[in-house]
Amino acid sequence: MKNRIRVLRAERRWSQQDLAERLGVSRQTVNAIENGKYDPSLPLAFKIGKVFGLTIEEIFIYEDDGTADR
Amino acid sequence: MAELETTVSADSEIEREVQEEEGKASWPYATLLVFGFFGTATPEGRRLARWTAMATVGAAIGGAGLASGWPGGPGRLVWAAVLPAMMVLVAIAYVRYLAALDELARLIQLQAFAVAYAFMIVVAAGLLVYVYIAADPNVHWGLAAATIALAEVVRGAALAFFARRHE
Repeated sequence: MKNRIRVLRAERRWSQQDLAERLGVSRQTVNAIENGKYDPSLPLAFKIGKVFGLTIEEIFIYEDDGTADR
Repeated sequence: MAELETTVSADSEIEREVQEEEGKASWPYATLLVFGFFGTATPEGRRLARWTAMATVGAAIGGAGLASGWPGGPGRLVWAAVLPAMMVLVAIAYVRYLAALDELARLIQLQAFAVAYAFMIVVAAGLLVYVYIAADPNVHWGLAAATIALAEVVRGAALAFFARRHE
């Protein structure tokens, strides 16, 4: 799953630490989400949306890997 | 034109800052490997360190008490109770620690615990087989302690491995 967090964060001039504090998670977690190494839970995804004032669909881009129809 | 240049310059500055800080967002690998947690930078980390240190001292006192052979008879049960009590203390400390972590840190810890648990099962089964085949009732107590120490080493390695996968 891809996301636009880095761009959204840069637009607001927030550091990873700033965003981490707003979300109540560690900076490593923000870094992992930004780099696509970790997909956040649904509650955290909603929280990210709330922080940026956007919907989940506007931040996260789901990429179907073909397993959904199996 | 000047305004556009300023905007482009500001964007480049942001991008540079982003790139700079990305390089510093690594996990505390040394702490994970050696101590099995994310360090004492947070209050929950400091609490875990405090509790486990107390439990270690308590277990050492209990072990020394058992080894001393004093007092004899049922009095030894007091020393015997200290060791499992200290393990319960560590377990409670870890449960509280896990509850305080964010979701990714908790996932990494749980994955490492799962690997260490699997390792313990395999080693325990191996020990059982050894005791059965050797028919030796005098298995040295140090084997149990070594198993726990080995499991901690495995857990530390698993922590570093899973943390690396999420960086």
